[in-house]
Amino acid sequence: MTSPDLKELGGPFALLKKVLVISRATLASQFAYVGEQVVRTTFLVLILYIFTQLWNATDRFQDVREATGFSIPQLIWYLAFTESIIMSAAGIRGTSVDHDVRTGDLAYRLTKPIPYPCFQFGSDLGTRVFRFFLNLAVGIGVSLAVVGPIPLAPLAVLAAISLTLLVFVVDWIWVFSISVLSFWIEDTFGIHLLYRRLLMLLGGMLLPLEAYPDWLRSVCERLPFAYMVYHPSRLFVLDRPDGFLHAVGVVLILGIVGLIPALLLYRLGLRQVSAQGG
Amino acid sequence: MAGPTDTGPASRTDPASHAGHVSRTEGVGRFTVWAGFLLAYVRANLQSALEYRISFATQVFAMMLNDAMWLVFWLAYFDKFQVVEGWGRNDIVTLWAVVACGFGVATTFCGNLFRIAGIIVRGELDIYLALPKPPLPHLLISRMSVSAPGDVLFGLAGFLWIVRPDVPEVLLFVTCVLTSASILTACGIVSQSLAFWLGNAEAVGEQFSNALISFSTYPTPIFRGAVKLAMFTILPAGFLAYVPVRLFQDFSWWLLFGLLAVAAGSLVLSTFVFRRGLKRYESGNLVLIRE
Amino acid sequence: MLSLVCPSWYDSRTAARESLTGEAIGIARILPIGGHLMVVVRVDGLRKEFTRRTRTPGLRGLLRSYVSPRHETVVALDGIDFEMDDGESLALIGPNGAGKSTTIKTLTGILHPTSGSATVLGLVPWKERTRLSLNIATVFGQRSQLWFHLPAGETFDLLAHIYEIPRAEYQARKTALVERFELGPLLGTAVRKLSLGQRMRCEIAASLLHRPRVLFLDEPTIGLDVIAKQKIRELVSELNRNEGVSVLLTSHDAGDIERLCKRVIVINHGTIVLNDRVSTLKRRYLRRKVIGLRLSDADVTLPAIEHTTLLSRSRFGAKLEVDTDRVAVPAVMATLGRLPIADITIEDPPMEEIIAEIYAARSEERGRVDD
Repeated sequence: MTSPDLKELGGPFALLKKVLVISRATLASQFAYVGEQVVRTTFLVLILYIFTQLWNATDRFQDVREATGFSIPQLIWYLAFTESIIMSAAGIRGTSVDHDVRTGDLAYRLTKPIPYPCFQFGSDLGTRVFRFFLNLAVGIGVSLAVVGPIPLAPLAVLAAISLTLLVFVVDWIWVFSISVLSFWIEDTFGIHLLYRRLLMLLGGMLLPLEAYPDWLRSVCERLPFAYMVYHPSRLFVLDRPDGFLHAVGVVLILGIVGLIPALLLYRLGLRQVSAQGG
Repeated sequence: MAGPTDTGPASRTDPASHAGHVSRTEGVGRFTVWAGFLLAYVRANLQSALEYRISFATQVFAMMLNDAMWLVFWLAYFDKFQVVEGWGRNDIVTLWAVVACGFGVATTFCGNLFRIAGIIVRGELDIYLALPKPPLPHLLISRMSVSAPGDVLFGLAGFLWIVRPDVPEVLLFVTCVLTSASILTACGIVSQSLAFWLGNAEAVGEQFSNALISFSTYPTPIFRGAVKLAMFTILPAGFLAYVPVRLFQDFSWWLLFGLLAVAAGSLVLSTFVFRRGLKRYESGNLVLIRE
Repeated sequence: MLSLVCPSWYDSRTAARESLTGEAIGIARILPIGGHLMVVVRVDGLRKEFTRRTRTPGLRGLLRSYVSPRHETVVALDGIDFEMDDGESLALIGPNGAGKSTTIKTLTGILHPTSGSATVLGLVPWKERTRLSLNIATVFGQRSQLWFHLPAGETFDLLAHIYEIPRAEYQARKTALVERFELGPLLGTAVRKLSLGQRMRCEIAASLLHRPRVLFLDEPTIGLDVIAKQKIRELVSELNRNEGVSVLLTSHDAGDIERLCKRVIVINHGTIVLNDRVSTLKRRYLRRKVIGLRLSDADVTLPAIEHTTLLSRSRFGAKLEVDTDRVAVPAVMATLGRLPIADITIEDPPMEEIIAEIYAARSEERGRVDD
């Protein structure tokens, strides 16, 4: 016989609201470390500077635009955007799920009236969005300083940013799937590292796929990684939102496909928690 | 060549006790004691890495993939362009292989290299100061970067496969790897020791090593002016990368001796900096915070 | 297990409610009255086993564990039963590894028991964890629920959303809690800058925002100094008295139990070894009293009294321990009365000694059974 005046949970809308509120709070807490975050963007400044030097040196011998299909400023702006996506992940793991599983903190989070993955998603997304825009601001600033402006189309920029936000959601789902493996594997760091490196290499972080050798380009085009790095960044530097809907479709499918292992593994992992404790 | 990673605190297994407590042995005996000490640590580190075998394997693999990214970038680059500032494909591969192997060797044996600042700030130096071995080398070797062997393997494989060196070139390569590892270690010690003076220098140290690695892995001639000057002084990427490549392009004994002298000198200098810093060490009462 | 006639924790508030409705005590304890359950926690034959992977040390053991991993079963809870009434404050004590945390984790829905049943507010915790979480609060002394880099006030706002507290209600509740817990000056400071005692106050206040019916406290005073401990105890017992929140706490600190709880359950090796009122506990296990004397003359010779031992002696003072099973305190006093006494004190041994005695007595018994 349950107590008649028990409080009851709200529906899915209430849950969504909770996630947004958590995101906002993490975003706010990132401001406490704005100084440190800015120090961490030094690497972005460096890499943009080095690549400018590299392309300028290359251009003295051979036309870069002719060889890659992109002008030097476009290549630098492209790099600023890809690096912002990659560097906005909080560390190699990008989340504290692994930590929570290993230390048993996850068990304690279960005593809150919000599903643990939702809580974590909200919090990680807040961090990521903050870091992304900070990196992008720095990246644009440096690009302006070293190669000057490029023509940007507002619609394409909007498309690029909205695709990026969607990518963050999908990326989180995949990262979460890897993280919950911590229930069974001692340390998932290696797998996270592998995933991040695949994103960098096959996602086209340093160069747009057009500049890849043909064999590698065809490999990358058949794999999901390019949709998470190359496509949003390409939209950003080209002045037209070509292929936006196609990219959104593929990313959505990737997200739905990712949800299956994520939820399945989490469920199985929870069973482990309830059997073995934190 | 991202930061070193590891399985867990090496303090779990402290093999220092197995290495013997003979502290007053001289000459060759002293060397054996040190070798035994080092070996005991290497064995313990390896064993704790094997304890997490899946993690160990994936990290080595991921590090190789990380290196492959740079290799693929340069292969893609040389697919479109023939030469940059007079450097061809082999020069770049040599540059990159020397730095990758140097970094790998340094962090395989000195896994704590890029953690010194954190250890200082958190007051964890106490553990090493309480033990009967010199704190700096002890601290450095008490952890192994699990992914570092990946760097060494891939650097070596890339060099042998793409550059196809003859025997003298292999010997030169090994020498350059050792000098690069020494210079990297020295730079790591100095930048991380800043924590003695600055307090929380972890971010600064990290950015410094990132910068050092970044400047070392691109063809040196593309940099000019003040940046080039910095690369042979405060950010010695020139000695890590440029000088070895010069040696391969145009060998000279003078240059080789110069490089060896710089490597030895930087190690001496870094030990000096660490010792000076140690005098300011305040131990720690910092609260351990959750990441 | 429980006294059916009139349990000690059967406080006046409960009594008033019952007299109003005219329910008989026995029935009242199970039936809801005025929208409240009389029993908020009910545990029945709760058993929990863990399996643990073991291996022999060394490289060989490591390799062997890859080939044929060995498991062993550890019994954390070996069939425990107890009940907690609405508005009661109950302490769960026991040595490390006795099963206290496992009990709390099971009651908050984190752990599934191997067998047995339990309900909290009528809900089965591991089946309806989320629904239950809205109505209870859990504070773990060693795990913070506050956001480390944010001021505590921000976490409060966040929790208001997580617990779906209506805006106006939240504001009123927050104001009241801030005043009572004296959090005003702390609310705007990042949690990482608070002292442990301040953080714990924020921690408990945060857990009360949603007006939980049951409060689970796992080691709430661990690591705190004397003053901070006192503060926390005062606040919790006030809360228990004034708001009728039922409190179930685990602790190693005898002071927590003495100040906070009316009833105590001693748990060891996964079984309940004792479930009684704190006052009964004291009476039953207090078989010794300590008499302190201040003498007005120096170097007085103390008479030898049967079943009394001299603990310490100085020129003007003495401390005696009396075995109250064998000799009555007044009898001892009568003998002592002949001495030139300036002052006299009679004290119970501290709670800690009582608990240590219970543990020791029970493991002795256990040892005998095992043989």
